[in-house]
Amino acid sequence: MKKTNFINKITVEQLEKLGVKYKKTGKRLKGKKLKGCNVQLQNILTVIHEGVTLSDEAGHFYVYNLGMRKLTGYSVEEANACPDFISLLYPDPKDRHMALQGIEELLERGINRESEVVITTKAGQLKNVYISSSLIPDKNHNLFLSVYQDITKHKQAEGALQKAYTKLKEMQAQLIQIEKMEAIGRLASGVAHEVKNPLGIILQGVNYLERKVSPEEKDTFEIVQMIKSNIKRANNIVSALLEFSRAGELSFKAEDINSVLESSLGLVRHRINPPEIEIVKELASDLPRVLIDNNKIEQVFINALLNAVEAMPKGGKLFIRSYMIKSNNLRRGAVRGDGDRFKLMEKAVVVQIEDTGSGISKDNLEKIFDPFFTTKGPKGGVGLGLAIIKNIIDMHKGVIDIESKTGKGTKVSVILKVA
Amino acid sequence: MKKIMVVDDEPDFLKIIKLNLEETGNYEVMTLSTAKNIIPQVHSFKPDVILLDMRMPSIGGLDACEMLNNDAMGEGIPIIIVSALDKEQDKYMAYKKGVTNYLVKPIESKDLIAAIENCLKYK
Repeated sequence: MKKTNFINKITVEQLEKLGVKYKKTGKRLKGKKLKGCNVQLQNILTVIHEGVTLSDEAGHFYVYNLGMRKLTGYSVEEANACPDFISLLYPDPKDRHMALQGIEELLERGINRESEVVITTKAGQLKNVYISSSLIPDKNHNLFLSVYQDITKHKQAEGALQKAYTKLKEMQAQLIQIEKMEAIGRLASGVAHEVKNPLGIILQGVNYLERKVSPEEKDTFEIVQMIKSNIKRANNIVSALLEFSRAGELSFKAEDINSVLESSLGLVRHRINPPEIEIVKELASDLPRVLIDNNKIEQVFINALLNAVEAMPKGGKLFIRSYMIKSNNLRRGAVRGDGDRFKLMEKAVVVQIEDTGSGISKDNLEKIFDPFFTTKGPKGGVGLGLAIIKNIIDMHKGVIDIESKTGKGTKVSVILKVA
Repeated sequence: MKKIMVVDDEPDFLKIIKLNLEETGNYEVMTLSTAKNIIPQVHSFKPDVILLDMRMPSIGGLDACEMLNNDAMGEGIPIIIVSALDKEQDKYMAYKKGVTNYLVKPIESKDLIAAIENCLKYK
């Protein structure tokens, strides 16, 4: 690299203000001694790894060391020849604003300023730079002494660390969730069995009473019927709990997802009442097989289809789609922390069930997979349906995503691994 | 009158089942709170159908089936499992032991009677 004249037109007073101790005798150095001192300073500036500049308010560089040239790719001649070097160095308006603000602050308050910015080098490379600037006031013109430290590698390491930390947190949350679900499952299974036995006795008892009460005894008859229907309700809850606890018992096979979708649709077709609900099928024909438990995935689709139908009491459109994606296209709405289930660019099959119904509020969307969360009231459901569905998809190492807008509709996307 | 033997460790269940079945006037019911002495009881009562619980202390429903299968009189008697266990695996194991039907608690009295009648029809 061609040697550069670092110190140019700088006065001895200004050099003194830099703190360079070359005035031992109290007399100003002139001639050879001053030149020698400049050479010494040049040598120091050359070996410094950081970029060091001394510039005036007009942006003219008096000092521009080798470190600065290496950092930016621009020589001092190029920097001085450029009418707006700041814009060249900081094409991003945000960084440019920060750099200019720093100069203004330095001029106004005269205090040292430290900032982190992103510069663009001559080769177009982005570099993170830590700048420490100080003002050297002068009668004729103020000078700015700046030290530029390349912190790109630190920033990258920091970014990687942050990413690793986030991933670790996500995995930890996922593990906690899985353990929690397993614990709930074990508990649910035990409780459900213990509850079913007394329910059996109560139901037989009610059957006995039913025969003893004539329908004419209206109140008593009604109460007996009420007990009976509540036994069934309690039984539904424990059955759902049992089902929830068993989501993990799967038997995987390579299956054609469109066939599973069609058979699920067949099972709920009696609940879909055309022409109020128009079914729009967009199924890709050349999909690879997916590794699934047929019955469980059917259960997922039936649940999503029934929810879609229930969301459209006055009719609407029910879209059923299947297509293939590469995993970097994944988008997750209601579910967080499942991003690592697919490798980058891994092929996956997506099934989408979308309705144009009432939609789900943002608050409810956040709680939608929580066990026992329901908006259907005591007679509508137990609130375990989607918790079970989520559990099933988790066991398939897949992703379930629910996007919804109140009044517009809901889109359920299930992303499954290719066999 | 057909004879029904009910084996369950829940005394309340035994009591109400006996009441419900006997009230039809079609059945004579014997209840056992354990399957421990099922074979001598079967020999003396000679049931037409046996209702068996799955999970019982000491001898469970499947073991009781095994004991009945190994007994000359017991092997021909239709068995209906009436249990709170509803796992597919439990049902599969029970059917493998030769049970005729598997009903999950809670069960309506009329459904239980229909199941018993079914067994009797094919006996």
